[in-house]
Amino acid sequence: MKRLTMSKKRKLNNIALVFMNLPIMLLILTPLLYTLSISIMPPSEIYKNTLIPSSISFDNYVRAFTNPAYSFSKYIQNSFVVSISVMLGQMLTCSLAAFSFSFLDFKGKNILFLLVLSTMMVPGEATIIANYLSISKWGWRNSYQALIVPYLTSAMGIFLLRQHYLAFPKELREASRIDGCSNLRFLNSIVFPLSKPALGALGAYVFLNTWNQYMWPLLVTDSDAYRTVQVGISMLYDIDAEALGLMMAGVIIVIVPSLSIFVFMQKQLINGLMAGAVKG
Amino acid sequence: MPKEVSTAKQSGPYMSHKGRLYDRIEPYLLLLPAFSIFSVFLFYPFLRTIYLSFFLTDKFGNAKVFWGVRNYSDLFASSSFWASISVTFQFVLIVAFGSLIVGMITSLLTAREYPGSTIISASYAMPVAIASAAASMAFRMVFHPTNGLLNILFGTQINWLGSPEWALFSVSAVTIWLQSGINFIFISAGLRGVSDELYESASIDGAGYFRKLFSITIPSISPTLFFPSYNKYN
Repeated sequence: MKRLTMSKKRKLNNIALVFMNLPIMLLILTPLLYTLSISIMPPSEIYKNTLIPSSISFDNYVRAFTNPAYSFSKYIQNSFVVSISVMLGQMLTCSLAAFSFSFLDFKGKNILFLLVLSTMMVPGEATIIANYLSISKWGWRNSYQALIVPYLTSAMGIFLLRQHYLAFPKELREASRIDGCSNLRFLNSIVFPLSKPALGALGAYVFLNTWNQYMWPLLVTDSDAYRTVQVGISMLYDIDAEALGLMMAGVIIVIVPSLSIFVFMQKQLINGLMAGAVKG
Repeated sequence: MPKEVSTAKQSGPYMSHKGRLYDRIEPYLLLLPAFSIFSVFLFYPFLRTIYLSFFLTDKFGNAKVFWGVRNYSDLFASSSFWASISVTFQFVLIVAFGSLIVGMITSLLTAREYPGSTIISASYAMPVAIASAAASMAFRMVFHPTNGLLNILFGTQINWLGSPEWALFSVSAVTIWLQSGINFIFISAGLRGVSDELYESASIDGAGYFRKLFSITIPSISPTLFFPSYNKYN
């Protein structure tokens, strides 16, 4: 009898919790739902201050892709090229460095690791002008390499993977060492396959961050051929500040890829970031 | 940190190959790709920024005239610099405080599992995936002076982004929204780390929810709370 009332109490508690969450959830989701609603609204309704469209129209989406002054599909392609390259590059450089920091022993290891961590404390604004000067000097403005190369490694990635590698059983390394397995082979055939979740989390995190970059791409590109999506949607505002529906359609198009990555990788992403937060 | 000590100890036996040159430089070779990027795009520009701050430059950014600390004294003498410092402090305080509150509430409300908690957690973490450029466009619509959501809901005609008394508030609101996802993730992680035994013994002693919140939860996760608040400066 007592158990029954306990489970009833728990059920009531759960319902109360869900109801307490609803207003906050609504608050967090409203900006996006409103954006979506504006983007599919017939234009006349926007100016009548309608919140929910009476009929759905995808005109704004079609216009975003077919406007001659504006090569949206090219921006999307550029963003994909840059984000995927940066993602793969960081997965590689960060795993090599993290492997060295966690499995190997060498002089200056702690100082070098501190140097890596110290890069987290340098705000982007402190380097962006000097970096821009270097990029211009090399003639790299308006190129993929200007968007990709500066981001090919990150302290966050090295730190995240090192945390993961430190949890590896040491016997594994010892056994393979005895069998004459070199470091690189150990990394390739044992560490990589065993750290797929951590690498996946890092990859998703890096992709999101690169996809969402704004300041650097704005600075180093001024031609359609290399412009990325985040700069592209801000230009929608400059082209026609009155075309609110078109702008909102642009926002929705740009967040669809990052939001899908978030939805598919959510569990790994959150667990990966949490591991970095707690063990730090 | 204790972990690191144990690595050093346990990897001791591998050092038997010490004699071979390749084995000795291999750790550095593995670090080379990461450190070359850091050197060219982080250490060098950071030092160059400091170096250039003591010079007058031409328009290509080459140091021309040594100017000592006069760039700094000019900056400190300018009233707009101090105005922007003061606004930055206000902004950081509002955003740090606001996003901590949002992060705390959202992670406390999803601290244990119940039907629907997965979807609720996902929507709280979702702003992590949204770019600031996209969010600022979306919020431009929310704050639109004539056709925006806020003015429609409140029946007002406020120029949220253009008027001096509302602009800081509006920009802070967008930033809090953008930060709320990562704060939710970090604070939830902190909450998971608090040991259940503390709560159990507090319950036995008859402590209520808020007593436990202020005497156990918040003190235990205070290091985690510090990180997201520090992070605002970047």
